[in-house]
Amino acid sequence: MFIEMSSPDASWHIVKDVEPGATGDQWRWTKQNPSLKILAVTTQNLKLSVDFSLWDVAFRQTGPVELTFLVNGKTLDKIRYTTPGQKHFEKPIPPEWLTTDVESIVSISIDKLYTAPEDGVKFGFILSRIGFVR
Amino acid sequence: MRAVLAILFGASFTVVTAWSIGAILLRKLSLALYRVEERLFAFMLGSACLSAIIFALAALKLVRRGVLLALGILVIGYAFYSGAHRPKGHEFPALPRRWKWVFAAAFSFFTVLYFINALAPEVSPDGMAYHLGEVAKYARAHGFVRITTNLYGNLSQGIELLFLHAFLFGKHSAAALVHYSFLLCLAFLMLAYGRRIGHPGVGVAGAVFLYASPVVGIDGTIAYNDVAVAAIAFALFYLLQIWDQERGANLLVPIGILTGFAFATKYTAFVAVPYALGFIAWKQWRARQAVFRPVLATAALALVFIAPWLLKNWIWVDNPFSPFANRLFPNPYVHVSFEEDYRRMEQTYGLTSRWQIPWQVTVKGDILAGFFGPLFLLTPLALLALRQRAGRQLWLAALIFGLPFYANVGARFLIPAAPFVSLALALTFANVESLLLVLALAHAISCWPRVETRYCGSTAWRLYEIPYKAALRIEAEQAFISRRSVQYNETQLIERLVPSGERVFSFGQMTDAYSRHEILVSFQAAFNQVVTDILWTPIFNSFQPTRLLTFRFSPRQLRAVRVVQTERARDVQWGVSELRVLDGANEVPRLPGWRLRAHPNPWDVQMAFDNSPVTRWRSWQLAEPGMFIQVDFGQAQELDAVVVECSDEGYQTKIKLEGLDPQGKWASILNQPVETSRPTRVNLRRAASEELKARGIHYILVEKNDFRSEDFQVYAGLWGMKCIGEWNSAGWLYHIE
Repeated sequence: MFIEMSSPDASWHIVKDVEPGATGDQWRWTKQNPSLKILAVTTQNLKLSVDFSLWDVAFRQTGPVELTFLVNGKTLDKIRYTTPGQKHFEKPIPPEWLTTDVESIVSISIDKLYTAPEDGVKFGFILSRIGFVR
Repeated sequence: MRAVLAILFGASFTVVTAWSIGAILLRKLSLALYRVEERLFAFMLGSACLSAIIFALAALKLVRRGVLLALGILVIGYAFYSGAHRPKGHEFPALPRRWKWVFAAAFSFFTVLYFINALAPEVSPDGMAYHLGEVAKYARAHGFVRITTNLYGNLSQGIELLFLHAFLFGKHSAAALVHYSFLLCLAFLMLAYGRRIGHPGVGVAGAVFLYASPVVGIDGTIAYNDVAVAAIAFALFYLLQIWDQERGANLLVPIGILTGFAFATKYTAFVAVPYALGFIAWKQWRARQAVFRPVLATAALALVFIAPWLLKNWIWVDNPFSPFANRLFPNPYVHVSFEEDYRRMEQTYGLTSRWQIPWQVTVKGDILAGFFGPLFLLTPLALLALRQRAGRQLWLAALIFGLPFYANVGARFLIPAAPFVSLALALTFANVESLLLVLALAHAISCWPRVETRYCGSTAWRLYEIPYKAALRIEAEQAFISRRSVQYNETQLIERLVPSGERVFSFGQMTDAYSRHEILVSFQAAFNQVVTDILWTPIFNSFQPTRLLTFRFSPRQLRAVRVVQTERARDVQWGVSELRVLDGANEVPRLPGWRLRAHPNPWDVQMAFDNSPVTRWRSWQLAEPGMFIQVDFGQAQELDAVVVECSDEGYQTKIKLEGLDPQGKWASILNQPVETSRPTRVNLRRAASEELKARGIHYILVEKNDFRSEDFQVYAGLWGMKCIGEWNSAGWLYHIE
């Protein structure tokens, strides 16, 4: 199951820390710990796949950031990004972490937040799509 | 206006036909009754007889408008021709003037309220679902149809058959008006009883106490049957009192008929049988007269009205008392677990303490679905009526007809006892007439809808408006029902979008009375519960076969093996998703010659041998020692392991393995399996949908409040379903592709 932020159903999958977007938006800003519920069609040979961006303006303020990818509360990986721009993350998930009856909770936590100078609102990164792929 | 005329004709034609039959019968019996009693008992007895006649016609598939018209004209004509329509008895002494006014005032206000509500389109939950749902099916089929997927179809339906008579001419509202006619009859019977015992004020006050009660008002103006049961119970009581005074053998005929009709109307009214027979036996014994003959005569007559319902169930669903007594009469149509869960639920209704009951059934009415009015808080004072003979008789009947309330604490289950309590309460104040008068008026005022609003619970079940526009069909029937019932709108989705002849599965109760489709409601039959189990397996991990119990032993020749339950579970059933027999590393292929058995629930044993992870054999009752699942190979088979795949749900159960050796001797092989777990690796949603299709179900309706309803919405693709209709974000209709 793969969630496109442009999908009309995307909001249903959001658990927390993803900004509500308008219908048709290709991406959404996140806060510090964006979490989504995503159903695994199978538990075997699945990878977590995430397409996201680190905005260069934000990056100039925060500097390198560390993202932690979690599946059902278990840390799948922790990666330090030293450049801004579009990123792709993909990594196999141990089958025993997943179930097919209910959605798994996928979270990404970012260590440093960007603070918008105009209004002081804090943002994490820009999420485009996230889900499980074979 | 034509619709209103049809409704009025349907209801009045049914009532007049019933009354005519009763009048003819009473004339033949030459009973010494007062005039008004003759009229009222004629309706009650005629209703019983007409219901029995329609039973016979329904069994012969002859329930057609022409047949009923001919029957009605014949009966009504004969009643007039023979003069049976003219009562022969004496008049009661005139009612005291002030009681006449009290009765007229209270009665007329509430009659307007009730009549208009009864005339309005039927919107009661159970009326739309099964009281009239089954009636609509019978009307289409011109008689009974074998119903195995809705246990309500197995209840006795004596009143529903009168509804059927009215329905054919005036549809749903005509049926509700027939029920209302029982409420009218009951009120007048109570009034007549008061006059007969020499306390007309008690009769008036008792009748007002009952007639104005909110739960009686709403129940009596919809297509339910509780008020009819109350009317039958009170008529039976009344006739027994007359018999006690006069001992006329002919009186046993209407007594026997009403005793049987009580059961034919509602199972819970079976208490009429021991009550009537016990009453007659006791009085005869006390008078040192023959006991056996009058009791036997009454019982035999009662049986004429009871037996057809028992036989119908026995023939069609293997259980004369279906949907109850399933342990005694095991059958594939209603699970024991359903019956036990149902009993448990009906005994509590979500009450936190039984001490809530008095306040609930008198004032609040929001948990126990209805209330009788604050006046009934004085019920303990009615015990003072025990000083009088009439009071003792009333209390005896109240206790007996109130017994079913212990099994179902819904307020309406007190309705059959309410006439007796009302009269006992009035009798208590018989000597303080002005107080009785004030109580009657105060009760009537306190039970008027606008006044009730000030004290009852906001969701209390009651009438709260006079929908005259809907009653007169100035407001379209569909629009009125649509405003009142979410389920009606969802049912209309089905009507619009599902092809004729297709069955639809629904987790919740729909409005079958307004549908031509067979709607399988998740809890209403064994088959439906199995379908629910299949649908829930993909979305509840605990239902999935993740637990493997392996019996491994030295290779041997066996003709049969059986897995036996050895534990008595507190609150779980036993289930087996798959039972596999191994020879070395290989599974022994299943052959057509294998004979499979299970106890209990032998009908589903195949589901433990179908290689489907979403189906399972279940005991459908709490696990207990002695339950087994068995496979007979038909010949000696070499094997060294048996694997039982089951879900986590069976954690309280324990099993052992037994084998039948080639010499035909059963012996224990292993008392304890080795347990391993195997997580589900694939999504089972589509597999579940395929199982539904295999069972002839291509459509399902999911409501917002159903468990995990959003799963169907979000993952329709994974289920292999397509949403083909939605109503107001409250219900979705899916087609299994």
